[in-house]
Amino acid sequence: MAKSETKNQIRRLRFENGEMTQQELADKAGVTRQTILAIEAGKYSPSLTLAFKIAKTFGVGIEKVFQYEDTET
Amino acid sequence: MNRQQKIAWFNLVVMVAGAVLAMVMAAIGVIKFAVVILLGIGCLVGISPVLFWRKRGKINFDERDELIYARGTLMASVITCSYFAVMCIMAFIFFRSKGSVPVYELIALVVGAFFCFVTSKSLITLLAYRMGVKDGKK
Repeated sequence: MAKSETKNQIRRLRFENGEMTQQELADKAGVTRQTILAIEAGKYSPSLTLAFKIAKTFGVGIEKVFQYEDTET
Repeated sequence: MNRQQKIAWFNLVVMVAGAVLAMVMAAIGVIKFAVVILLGIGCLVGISPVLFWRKRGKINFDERDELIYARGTLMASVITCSYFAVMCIMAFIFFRSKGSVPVYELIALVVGAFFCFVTSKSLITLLAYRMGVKDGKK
């Protein structure tokens, strides 16, 4: 059975962008810090709009921030 | 802890306190007022949005909160409807021979539904924040 998983590079991108805090990223993306924390931890999959906002904050494409993996189990 | 969680905790504490007080009332013999006490205390949940007012200039509610709120309401509605279905069948079984359902029992049924909805919604909200919402599933 195929199992899908979304991975993200938010933590790495935050540090590459002047050690941006979760709160700073949250303010720029227009969400709460808890949501950024949940996305980073893989506990919440953001909407496409939010995913684009996060990517725009870092100045990169969405595929650089989020990766979709399909694994056979 | 965000505003939604604070409201959920407050509502849960109010409902549990109301239930405990209602049980104490029932234990000391004033059982007919126990339900009214539970309803009276339970209605304090209505002041929670005022107690935990939204802070200006701060993002208090986003898409994740909205999802958790919607799921909590949906699940609580399902639980409450199931409760109603079971209780109505039980009322039919227990009071069929008497020909009518006593008013007191009807009030208890409605207050029980209120308790069921608020408590389950609070618990589901708190659990969703704790466990996270992943890939559209809680």
